[in-house]
Amino acid sequence: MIVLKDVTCKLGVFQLQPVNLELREGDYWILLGPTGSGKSVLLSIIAGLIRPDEGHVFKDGRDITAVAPEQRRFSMMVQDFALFPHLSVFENIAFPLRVRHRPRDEVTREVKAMASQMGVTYLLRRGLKGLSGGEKQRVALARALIVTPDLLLLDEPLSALDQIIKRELMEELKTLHRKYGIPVLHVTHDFEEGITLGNQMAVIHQGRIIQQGTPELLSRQPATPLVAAFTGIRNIYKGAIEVRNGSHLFRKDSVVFEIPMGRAGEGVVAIPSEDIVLSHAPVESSARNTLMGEVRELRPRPPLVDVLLEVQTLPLIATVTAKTVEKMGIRSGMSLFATFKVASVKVF
Amino acid sequence: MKTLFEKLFAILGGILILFLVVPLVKMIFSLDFGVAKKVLSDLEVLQSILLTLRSAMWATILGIVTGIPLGYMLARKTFPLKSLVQAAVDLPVVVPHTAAGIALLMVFGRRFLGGRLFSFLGLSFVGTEAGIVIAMTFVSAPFLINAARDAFAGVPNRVEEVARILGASPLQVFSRISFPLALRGILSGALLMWARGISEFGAIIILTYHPMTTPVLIFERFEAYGLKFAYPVAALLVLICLGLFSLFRFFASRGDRRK
Repeated sequence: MIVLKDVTCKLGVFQLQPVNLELREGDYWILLGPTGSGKSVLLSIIAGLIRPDEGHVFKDGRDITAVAPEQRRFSMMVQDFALFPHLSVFENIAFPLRVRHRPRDEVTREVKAMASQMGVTYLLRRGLKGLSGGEKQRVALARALIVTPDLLLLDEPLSALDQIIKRELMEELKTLHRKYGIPVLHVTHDFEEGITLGNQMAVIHQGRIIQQGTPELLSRQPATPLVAAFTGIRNIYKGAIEVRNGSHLFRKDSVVFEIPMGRAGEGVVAIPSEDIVLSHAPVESSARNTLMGEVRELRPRPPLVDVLLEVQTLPLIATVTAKTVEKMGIRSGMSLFATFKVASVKVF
Repeated sequence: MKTLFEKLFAILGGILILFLVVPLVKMIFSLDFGVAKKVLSDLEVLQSILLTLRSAMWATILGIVTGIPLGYMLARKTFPLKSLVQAAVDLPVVVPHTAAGIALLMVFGRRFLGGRLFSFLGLSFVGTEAGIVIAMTFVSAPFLINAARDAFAGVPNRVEEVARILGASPLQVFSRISFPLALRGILSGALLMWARGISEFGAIIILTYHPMTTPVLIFERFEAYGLKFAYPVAALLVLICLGLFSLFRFFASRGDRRK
């Protein structure tokens, strides 16, 4: 188990606020944050590349804050893979074994076994020139896993890949994690990556962990609008909250809808685009909010489509399937009704 | 179709190339076969060429042993007075070489502290091959140090960091990753240092007139006997240098192709 206790670090103008994190056996942690949020600094602290100013890093109860990176028994894979360009694929995978002075026979045996597992046996005798992004990624992963590390650190490992290979490798990472059970800390700015792979998630912004928990919790109960934005909620509005006859209302310009709670005054609300039901006519249902808007744009996101409505001056995105778009004949300029439950509105 | 801009640049660059190449080519082609044969059989000339190549090689080895760690430190580490250290590295390039010779003499001369200390170890730098080596090292080391620094700076930090996380000690990262990746730049710096060492005259003539390196021999023959006796030696040295550099370049390009 890896534990971070009150870890802080100042690098130039950047300040990492006290971080507390627990990575348990079998955990797949996602550290989600925008560029410059401090996620890579945190990764470097865990790896031992940066010494924190304050706080401690523990591994199985032992304080490893001052332990050198090579003695931590961790592995790492980064966005550009950081493969060693002067070494063959075989030697790249063998590197962690070579620096541990493992016998030659053992190195050959283990590299072959790992290469076969990662499906890169056919590359072993080659150099790195001409390898595709997916192949490089597999080689980097084989190199990271060959010593069965106590923690696998992944720094934006899928960012450099195209969508198809990315999905394929996400599945592979999932399978490998299940198989080896090695705790993983995966840094990314992509929530989809996070929710597909992780069972724990922390959102970091400006050097501070804003919220941590399961991905489901973060998307169901985002603590701040930023977490909501990160978890893919796109309908986030700043406006006025009013309390009238026991009901809570949210007003943005001339658009008003009901919200589950909130203090009167200025507030921020978010409506998950998946929770919005579209119809040609107002529908009778338990959902109490119905707004009429005009379709401005259709943004395909296979197999889904984001329908961008303009409700007076308020932009509202509803996510439906491509089939629904076809069946309802949704197109730009059309007027539609958007219905959503009061309970689906998140209030910050 | 070349643009006017490209034509202008080609003409300006061409003028400089002609200026650099024509004197050397003329000297080589003016060489009379009979005279060349005589020069080749002149023991003093051959000994001076061997001495020059050997001394420059020792200077380069000295440069490699000390300059590579310094280049690595300058590329990778931050330390107090780093910019001052960098300025000190570049100093020999801007100091006139005769002045460098005087400066070296004032440290390693027999009457000075450094010279006396080394004389206890049986080493003298005035009028000896060791003197030639330190004069060459002094004036040519910046080429190797700066080339090594740039080559190490070109190795991505991330690659070294990942190597460490994967279990390599700092020494292993250096020997298995940084050094091999910087090797090409270092070799070209070493070649430049060696070449600069061979051509050194100013510092050597102050510190060690005898035994004579080839540039000193050329100067002496020019002063004593005139151009006719000086240029065959000069042409021979240029030919040998060109041959050796071509050979190095050939092996370097073969190495590249293999990669």
